[in-house]
Amino acid sequence: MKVWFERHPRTRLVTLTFYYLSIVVALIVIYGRGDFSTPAFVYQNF
Amino acid sequence: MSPSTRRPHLSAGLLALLIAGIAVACGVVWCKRLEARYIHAFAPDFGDEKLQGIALQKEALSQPDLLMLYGSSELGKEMPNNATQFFADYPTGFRVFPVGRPGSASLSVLQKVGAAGESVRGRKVAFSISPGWFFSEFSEPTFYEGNFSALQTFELAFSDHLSRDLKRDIARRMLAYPKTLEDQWLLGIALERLAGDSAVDDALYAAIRPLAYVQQLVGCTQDHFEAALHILDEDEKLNPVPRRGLRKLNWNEVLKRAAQFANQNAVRAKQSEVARRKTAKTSRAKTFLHALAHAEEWTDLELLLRTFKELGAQPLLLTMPIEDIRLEVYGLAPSARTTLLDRLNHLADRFDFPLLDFRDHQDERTFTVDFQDHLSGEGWLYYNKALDDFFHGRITSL
Repeated sequence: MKVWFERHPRTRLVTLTFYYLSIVVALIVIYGRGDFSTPAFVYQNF
Repeated sequence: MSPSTRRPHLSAGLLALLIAGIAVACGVVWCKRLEARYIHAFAPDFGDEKLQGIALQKEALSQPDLLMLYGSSELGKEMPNNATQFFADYPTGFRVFPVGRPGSASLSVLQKVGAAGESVRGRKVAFSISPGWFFSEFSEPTFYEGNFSALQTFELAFSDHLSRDLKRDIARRMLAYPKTLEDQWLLGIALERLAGDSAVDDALYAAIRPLAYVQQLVGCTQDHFEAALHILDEDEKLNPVPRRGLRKLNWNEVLKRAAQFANQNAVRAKQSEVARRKTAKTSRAKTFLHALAHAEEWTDLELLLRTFKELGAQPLLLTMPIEDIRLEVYGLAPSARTTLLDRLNHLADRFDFPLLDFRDHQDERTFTVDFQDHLSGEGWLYYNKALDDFFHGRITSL
């Protein structure tokens, strides 16, 4: 496989790009949500 | 041999980042379009995306037919004639966009106004002040904590539109609530440096600025996507085309009907509260006057007014009347109420902002439904007239 990729540099670049892109997308999916959480809040009226 | 062949991983990694960056930028543009299309439908919404984020509030401030109304629990309480419902079909050409939830007082509102930054410049906004905020010397920490937004505070702490002095004073107040900064080390450092006010603090503040910029870029991008996802989730409920019914409102007629919204059950509940809580006047009055004179809320309100001033906003300040029956329940003389109102008016005058305290309604028992500053259906009508007059530049006729 390594030898084949060395013979086809363009395919290697495209495959690697997709590989890194999938990592970036996975990171965004895992950590990308905004966090609006606040500390525990019990409203007891004024 | 091309560079991409010599360093395939580096080239592929950079290319992947570039593609992801372009995709995110396009995504943000799409989110902004969605926000602009649905913003009017967000008026009755009290979700985190609207109240704790920045994107939707900035979008609302850019709309000429939305009037931002900052306040507290009274905004979200189900009540006939509340401003959100009353102006729902744009009867005089605008709709009220309430921002606030239970427990949000001046410091929480300041956070939102400061984060909106330049979007507030030249804009009319209304701020509903609850007299109860000044009845305790120290604010209840959970109220601020429950309304805290790291995103908004970040934007405020690194704002270029506020003076260093103002940011220092705000930071000092915000540091009084350390629980909000437990998971926010960068924000904590920024506020401490702002509060420090020495040359070393200034240098450290400048040093962390690039990192804060990146953090804020990520935060604001998340904010846009959260707003868009919320819109997609609620698509069926949020109608992007606002219902409009322009008509001439005869306020004299509307206010004549105000009495029919007087809630007698609420009055009875208030009277029984008076009977239950009646205590020796002297002890209560002394404690109350001390709290009133030293309430932290005065500092927070002044900071908010300074923020309005520096950002060039045009606020209208409104406060519910402290009804005679409320003085009875606290065992207070009318002079205690006068002390509060005089100080509020003095503060508003200093900044040259209009303040409506509805003191003509002090002898009524039906402007509010309880002793927690919640407006009744009747009280909302007077508030609504004030908002309508303010929006249309008739403030002098109030």
